[in-house]
Amino acid sequence: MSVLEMRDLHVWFDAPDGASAHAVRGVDLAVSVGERVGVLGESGCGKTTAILAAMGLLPSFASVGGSVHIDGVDVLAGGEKSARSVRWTHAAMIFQGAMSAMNPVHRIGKQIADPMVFHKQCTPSTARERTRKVLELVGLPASVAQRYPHELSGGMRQRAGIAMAVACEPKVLFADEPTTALDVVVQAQIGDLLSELTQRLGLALVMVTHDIGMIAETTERAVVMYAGVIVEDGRTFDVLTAPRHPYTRLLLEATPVVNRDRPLVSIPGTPPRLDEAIRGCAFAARCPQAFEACTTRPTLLGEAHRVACHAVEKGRFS
Amino acid sequence: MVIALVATLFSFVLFRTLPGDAVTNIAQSPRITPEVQAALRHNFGLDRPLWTQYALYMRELARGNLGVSFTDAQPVSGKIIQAAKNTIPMALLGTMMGIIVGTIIGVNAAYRQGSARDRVITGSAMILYSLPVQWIGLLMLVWFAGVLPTSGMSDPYLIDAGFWATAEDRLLHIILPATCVALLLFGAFALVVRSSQLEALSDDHVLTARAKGYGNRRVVWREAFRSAMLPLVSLSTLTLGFLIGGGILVETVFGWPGVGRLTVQAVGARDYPLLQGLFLVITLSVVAFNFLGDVLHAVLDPRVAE
Ligand SMILES: Nc1ncnc2c1ncn2[C@@H]1O[C@H](COP(=O)(O)OP(=O)(O)OP(=O)(O)O)[C@@H](O)[C@H]1O
Ligand SMILES: [Mg+2]
Repeated sequence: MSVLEMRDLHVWFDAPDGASAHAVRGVDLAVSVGERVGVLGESGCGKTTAILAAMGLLPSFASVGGSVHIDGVDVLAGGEKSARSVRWTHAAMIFQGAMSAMNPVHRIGKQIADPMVFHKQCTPSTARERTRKVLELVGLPASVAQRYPHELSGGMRQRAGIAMAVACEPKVLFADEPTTALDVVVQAQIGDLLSELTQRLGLALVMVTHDIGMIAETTERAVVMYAGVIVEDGRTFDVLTAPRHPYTRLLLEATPVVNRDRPLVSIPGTPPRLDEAIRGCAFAARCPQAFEACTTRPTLLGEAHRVACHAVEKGRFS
Repeated sequence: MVIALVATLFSFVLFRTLPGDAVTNIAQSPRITPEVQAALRHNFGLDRPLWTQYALYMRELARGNLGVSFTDAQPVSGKIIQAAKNTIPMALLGTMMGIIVGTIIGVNAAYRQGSARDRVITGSAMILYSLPVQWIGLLMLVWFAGVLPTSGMSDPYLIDAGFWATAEDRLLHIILPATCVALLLFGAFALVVRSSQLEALSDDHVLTARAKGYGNRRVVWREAFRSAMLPLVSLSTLTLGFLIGGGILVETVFGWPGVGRLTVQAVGARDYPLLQGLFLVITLSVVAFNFLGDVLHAVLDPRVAE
């Protein structure tokens, strides 16, 4: 059973001058209980936008199409009200900048405990007790509850952010570049913590990151996005070691790997403009494999390892 | 302390360099002969060298004695305390109203940034902010004359009234000057609140608060505004410091017997001891409120406390 289901999700950002950027162009993604999914894709391809849309957190000038179900609740149907009913109790988030993601004037403990009380999960004193427990769970001493965000190191802050996110026992955890602002050693620790914690708590994890190592270590399934759509979706091991979509191949080749004698490539060209309609495959213009069929939009096909590519479908290359 | 010392010296020199002295006014009366003038000057100590005057003043000041007024021989401290007792409630009430209204309006404008409501609010705040005090005051005088008492702080014919009647009388008298103060301040407060609130609303932690499922009111007030209060606190304490030192124009327009009006009278009469006392008190009040502002900052924002 899936705890998170996005069906044909679209997001348009309406600019004041009437132009509109189609940032997410039909994302289908079903995540089952306890599944850990990594989301890859270059900057601006709509990863953050899709996550925010799933929680109904986009600004008011964004319009959203399609549907999102979290733990059975239709998030987008009932407007702000239904979105609020799933926030934090069913789906929580970890943000990139753990520093700016916390309120600078409230103590960590308060920021962890307040939502439990707000969502009527427990009384303030039980909430304090649970706060101590989740801090312990993420490897922080209970005394951190008395600290303010600026008093913690980046790694501790991100741990506190994770404690905050799991405190209300959600079923889905979105993590948007949770380690970008940290040094490599701490990055690895946070990655370990995330994968261990989600397994222990049976949490589904949707993690956006540019760090392929993180994806390899913390997730079991990898999704690749390009220009607002999913182009490849499969087991992490398969996607990373045997990518099928031409974009994924190039993306992986463009990723630096230490201790590997391999020339770094960059993908020629730029992603398509989002304020213009995209006909056919969005990657066709940059794709070495492009042929006539690419003027129609490919669909995600396949069983365990799905790809949206005419060339793969026709067996032109593999 | 250093500031206070500098203030005494400054006020001493400053007021004494004004043309004329306490006797000049009296001397306009034809019956005051030059001999009498000289005697008066001697009495007030005005014939001594400036430095001796200052030394004497400082010696008495160290004993907590601000001297006596040249005009009515009453102790300066008593006069100032009496005036401050009148000014403080009016200034506090006005500032509180200004803060409350300015905050509500500023937060609302920020929440609906760019909307027609925001533009109307911001525009009127700007206009109010730039209008001269005496003009607003006089308009209020014209509009409310007859409806509300417009001058002084109590009805002179209200003698031996009970507690409630007196309280009501005071309240009616304080409305106009306090509202005038509030109107003056609210524009600036609303603009400051709006801009700091706009900044706070776009902070990541506000997105976190929304992700937590909090309702709009809680997000706007307890998360965003709570972290955006500092500029308002600075501005309020700064303004209060100056207001206690006398909203001279407001007090003049509404005949409010407070520190500001006392200052005007003292300047007119070249009442040096009173002026020096007032100057000292005003300086101290500004310094004290700045200090209060710093303390509040540290209380409200843990990042400042370090
Ligand atoms: N608030 C917004 N207003 C207007 N356009 C936006 C807004 N947020 C995102 N966009 C546009 O939507 C597109 C997708 O942005 P998004 O932030 O989702 O990308 P991303 O995949 O998360 O990139 P990154 O890896 O850099 O975080 C971008 O082209 C961006 O310009
Ligand atoms: Mg992003």
